[in-house]
Amino acid sequence: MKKRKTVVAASLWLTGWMICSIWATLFTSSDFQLSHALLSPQLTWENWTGHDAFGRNVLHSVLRGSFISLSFAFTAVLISISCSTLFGISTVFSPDWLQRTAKIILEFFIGIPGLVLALAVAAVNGPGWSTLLLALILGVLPSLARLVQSRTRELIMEGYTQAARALGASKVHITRRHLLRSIAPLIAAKLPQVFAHCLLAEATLTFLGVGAPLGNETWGSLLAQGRDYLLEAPQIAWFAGLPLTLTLLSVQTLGDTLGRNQNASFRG
Amino acid sequence: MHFFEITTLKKGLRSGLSTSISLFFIFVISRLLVRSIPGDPASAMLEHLDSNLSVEWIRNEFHLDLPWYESLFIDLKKFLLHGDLGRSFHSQKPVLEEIQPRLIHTLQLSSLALLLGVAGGITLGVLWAKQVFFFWRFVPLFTAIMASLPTPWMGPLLAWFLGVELDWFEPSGDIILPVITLALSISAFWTRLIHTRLYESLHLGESTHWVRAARGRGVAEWKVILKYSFLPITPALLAILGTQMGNLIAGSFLIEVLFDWPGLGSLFVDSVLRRDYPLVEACILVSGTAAVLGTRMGDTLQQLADPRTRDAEIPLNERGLL
Repeated sequence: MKKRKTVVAASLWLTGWMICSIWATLFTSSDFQLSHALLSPQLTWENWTGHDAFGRNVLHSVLRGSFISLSFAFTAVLISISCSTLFGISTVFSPDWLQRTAKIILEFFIGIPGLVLALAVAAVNGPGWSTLLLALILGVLPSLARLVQSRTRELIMEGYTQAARALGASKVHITRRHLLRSIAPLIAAKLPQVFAHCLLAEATLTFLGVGAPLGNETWGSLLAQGRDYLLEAPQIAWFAGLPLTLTLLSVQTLGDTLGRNQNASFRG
Repeated sequence: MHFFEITTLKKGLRSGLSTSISLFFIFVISRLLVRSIPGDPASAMLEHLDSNLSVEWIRNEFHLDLPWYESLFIDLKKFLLHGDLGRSFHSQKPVLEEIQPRLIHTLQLSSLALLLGVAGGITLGVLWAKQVFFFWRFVPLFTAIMASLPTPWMGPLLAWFLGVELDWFEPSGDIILPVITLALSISAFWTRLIHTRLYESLHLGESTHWVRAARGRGVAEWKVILKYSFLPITPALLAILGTQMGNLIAGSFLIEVLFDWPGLGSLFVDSVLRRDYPLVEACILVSGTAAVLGTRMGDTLQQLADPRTRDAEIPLNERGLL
């Protein structure tokens, strides 16, 4: 019963925050209001979250930034999941030596820390959206592909897949009918974790200055601003960091519950 | 001793070979990085630099006129025979000379944090799995919150609270605050890990038999925990420890930038932002090498501690990689 309450709270927070961030993206502007920039950082009743260095309302900034960060992380997750599924399944159908090579390459990339890969990409490409996207994908794709590959290899040995092959079913048919349907729940259980990882990685990389281009509002750039003005205007740090923490906490709570249900259905 | 059997030797050779191949791959990647810069690499590099180097000098330094395999061979020879990785664009000092003091700083920070974090994590994990006092109820909350606290937010807040408000430590340049921040996140990870593994070993699977037998013989409960459920899971933990040691060099990068700790991470980020390519290459080489060697060390430790894993392939999640 207690578990259910936390799940409800987590989903309420996520939907509520997303609706607010969509509203802020549609109806508030990110133009500089330099007359507001000279206001005292003290909070007032009219504007209880204060203004940032460019005179923008902090809460609106955070909402707009989180919309960009959330949709960016979601894009990265979608691309990584589709690529890794495609890669994982197609290697299983390929000859033995190719499978082995793919495995070695994947394990090599899994072994290298994501931040090192991200910094390497940034060194070549320069900071920017494409660098950020590539870095996020490189961070999650190898381990996902490895997971899909090992599960597919198990599935291909199962009786029903063998039977389908013996009956002359094509590879596409087996993939669509048997493999994808068994892999989907596995990936669904992994999804929240991957999403949280991407969200955190975006914030970290942008914070370090190798992610989103300067002047863009994302969670990372707002955290960096919060750090710069921590003593003068601590509300920027609080209003940028707290929602991010709550969002990550909610995503992880939902992920844990999903994972537990998954295990239960496997056992049953 | 079985330690020196031929098969062991063969296996050792094989793992040594695969490690060297991984290290070679890292070297190749770090060296070919420059060539994958879009456009003409030399002039693109010069564009972002504020120094008086010429295009010819850079082209010569990276052997950009030669085909990639030849320049790779020259670089490898220079590195292996003379320990030469080139000179930094900015300070004009040899790269290895720049990196060495930074690496020592990073190792100080990460080893101290790992020691504290693992010790704290094991303590909290045992408390949680055994549900000791009323205290254990706070442990899951602590791990959940720590797992979702973004470091770029937590670091500045800790610096502000402990360094400015309470005035206990220096907010920047001191080792204590970065160690605390890093140790907190490491300990949360280890608490979760130890709890899951201990819970499994106490309540699920075949290990419950010997746990029950030990309790039946009247073995003290603390000894049941330590000897009959914690000791059997240590090999897998050693593997994860090794992986984490290797990854920690990269794991402390962000913390170093946050607290102005003059380690490898702040050097890496600075040189990426300043486009100091010789330094970037060397940083990739060093941190990648650390990751590969750490993972390999963890695997070896696990195989030494647990004979059953000697013949089997160690799954990635036992190495803490999945």
